[in-house]
Amino acid sequence: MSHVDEGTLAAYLDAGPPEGGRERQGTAEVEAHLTACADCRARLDTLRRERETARAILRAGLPARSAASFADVLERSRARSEKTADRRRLSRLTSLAWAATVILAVAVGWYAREASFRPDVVGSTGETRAAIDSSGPASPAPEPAAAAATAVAPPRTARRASDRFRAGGGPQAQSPVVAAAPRVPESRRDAAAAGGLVDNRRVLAGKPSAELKQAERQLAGAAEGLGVRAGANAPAPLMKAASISPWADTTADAAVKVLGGRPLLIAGAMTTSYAVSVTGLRQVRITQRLGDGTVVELIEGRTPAEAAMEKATAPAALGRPSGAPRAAPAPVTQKQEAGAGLREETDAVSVSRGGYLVTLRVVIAADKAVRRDSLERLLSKLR
Amino acid sequence: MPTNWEQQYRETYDDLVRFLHRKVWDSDRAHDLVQETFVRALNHDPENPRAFLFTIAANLARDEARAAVRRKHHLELITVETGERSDPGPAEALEEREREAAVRRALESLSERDRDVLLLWDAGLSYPEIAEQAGLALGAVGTTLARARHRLVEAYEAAEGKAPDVARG
Repeated sequence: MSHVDEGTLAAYLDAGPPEGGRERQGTAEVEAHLTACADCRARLDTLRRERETARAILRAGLPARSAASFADVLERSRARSEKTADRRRLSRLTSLAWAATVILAVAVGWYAREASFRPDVVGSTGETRAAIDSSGPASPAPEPAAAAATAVAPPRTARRASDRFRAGGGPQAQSPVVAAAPRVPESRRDAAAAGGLVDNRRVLAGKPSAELKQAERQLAGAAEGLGVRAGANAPAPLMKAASISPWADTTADAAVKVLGGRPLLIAGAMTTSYAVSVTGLRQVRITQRLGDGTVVELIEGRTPAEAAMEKATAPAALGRPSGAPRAAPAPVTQKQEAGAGLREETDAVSVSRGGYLVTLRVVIAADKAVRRDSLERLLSKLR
Repeated sequence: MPTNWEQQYRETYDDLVRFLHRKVWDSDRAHDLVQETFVRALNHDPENPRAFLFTIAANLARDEARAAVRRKHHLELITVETGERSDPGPAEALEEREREAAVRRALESLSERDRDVLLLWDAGLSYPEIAEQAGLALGAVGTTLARARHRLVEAYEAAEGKAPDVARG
């Protein structure tokens, strides 16, 4: 008969359940074996002694102290709950603070980004300050035109353009054309701040002004022999239109296309440049240098009446084939050109030929006084 | 039926104090951890409240031991505790400190598993509860416990140089 192992004997001593695979043995079997086996009884006695000694060791030397009441535990639990709740509130507040910080940072970043895109703010000129003042909350009430623009909520770019235009000394009444105009480079805005020239040009390029129309009418009047006044005695609108009518340099071929035929030139003079009008008029400006150093310019274009006639009669009647020379004008005198006007001032003279108006102007004169007969002779050399 | 924690407090308090005292070797800290054990248990309704309490206490003791190692003042706590204890007389106090030190040395000579099983048995847990708490098979509890008790007695007698009076009492 095999002996009972120490684990089973320990469980027997501790009155615990039989161990593992020995459940079937049961307490009765252990007791039966112990009755018959002296060795196992001796081992059981040793285990019992060690058990009691171990318990005595473990319970020796413990300091005597009265137990705290259960109320203390409950109070401690309540304080812990409040502390946890406070911590949760603090955590929630911290989260809100972080969220507010992030929102604030984004807002500041957005504002800084917007400001970085506004050259008005970056600059330091008087125009800049004017633009800031005009866009700030303390700015005066908007003018009617500006108020209308605000009512339809124009794009920010358009509003900035109008602000710049106003700061540059432009007209106070803002037209939609100006409001929608593309942005002007910094250097050009400086020019605008100096004299408003750029913005004026933009206005005229986008929408011909009444002044230009008046100039056009006066040129047409010259073609009809009503006389053209130029120079110091010319009407102010005409002078202004002439001064602001920009010319774009071009080639001889492009000039031919604009006129619908080869332009008339002073025979024997050196042609230095061609330019076409960018105002919408079919005009060509040709600069020629004469032998004595005199520089003249020939402004050639159609009379409005001729243009209207061509438009009404068909493409075939649009004039001479490209490159075909026009007939040279006859000798220029008022008597010979009945109905085709010749008018002369001190430095300019015009002549109309077959629906084309040619104006000859002295740009640089070798002699201070340019006589009328000299201009007439030049006109007679047009070929 | 919800757990009557107040009753559990009365029935288990001394066993928990003893269990924790042998873990942290600080009487005040042991009492404090017992309260903390019940604070953590109050919001629960376990099937076996006693085993549940000792599980919490063992975890608290483990955390406390780690914190004590980090603070490196475990021995100072023992010194303070011994010095603050009520002192019936110089000779008795000396013997008590020596006995306490011998118990500690004997327990620390055991493996961690043997020590845990021994303390849980001393706290009154059943074999299945000890098995669950210590992570042992039920059939291994008796063998482990017999070995732990034998080694504890041997270590204590070696530390004392004689059979302790407690063994005879």
